[in-house]
Amino acid sequence: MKMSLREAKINAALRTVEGERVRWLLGKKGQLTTSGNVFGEMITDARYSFILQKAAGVELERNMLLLEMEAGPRTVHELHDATRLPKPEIVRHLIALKKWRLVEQVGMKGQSPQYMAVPRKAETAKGE
Amino acid sequence: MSSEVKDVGSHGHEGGDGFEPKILVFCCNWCSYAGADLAGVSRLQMPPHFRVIRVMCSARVDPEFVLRAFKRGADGILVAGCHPADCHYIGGNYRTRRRMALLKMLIQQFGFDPSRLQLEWISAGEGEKFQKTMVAFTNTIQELGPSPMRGGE
Repeated sequence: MKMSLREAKINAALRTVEGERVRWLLGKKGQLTTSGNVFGEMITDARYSFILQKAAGVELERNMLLLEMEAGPRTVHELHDATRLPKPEIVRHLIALKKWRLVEQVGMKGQSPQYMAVPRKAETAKGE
Repeated sequence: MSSEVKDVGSHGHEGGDGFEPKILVFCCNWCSYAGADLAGVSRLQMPPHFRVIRVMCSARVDPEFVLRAFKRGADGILVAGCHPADCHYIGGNYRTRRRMALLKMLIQQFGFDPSRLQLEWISAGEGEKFQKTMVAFTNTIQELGPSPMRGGE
């Protein structure tokens, strides 16, 4: 693995562990496995571990893409070259990120749409 | 604390004759740090390649500290806390256990061997256990070689 890709992954991992989704899941283990969620649904320890690992994996990939798109507009091909993630997976992540208004389409490069990360609220406030 | 994590990148011993690992040990104030102290007072022989950072609870070790330390070139990280059910803050060590499981998964994603990160329960009276843990962990890291961030595999 190239050093730049490794560093990018570590930066994405840092953002993942700071992120709401993973922190929430880590903090709710006791509740989810013993007393259940608001609907009284309980999950086993094994199921909890599976959910946590899957969520962390997805967040890691999305943060890698976001970090890349924060540097400037990127097409799916450019994102694939930078992150080595499969293109269909990148498209799935982009759909989710667009839904959460974390990325937006900013233009076209040939036939490919270019996407860019929407500045985060905390960063925007810092810049003002 | 972040400065200490930062320092790990600059205080390595890179001897000409072989690899000397840079190991970071987070010790909880109430159990493991006292255990480490006992090991020192008892004059138990330990490898000199580790640096201890005292935290009030093992749960104070944010996953961010571990990732930053690895990013700055630490070869191995040991988090030592109170035994389960002995936590001074009731359940801090359970939180740590969850985080470490997640971190082990995450570090594999960027090419680190999961055994570079270890969680151990060491009580205040277990100086000998601290010494044995440190010897075993140092040997493991020496076998694994330098961190991928320092050109290892």
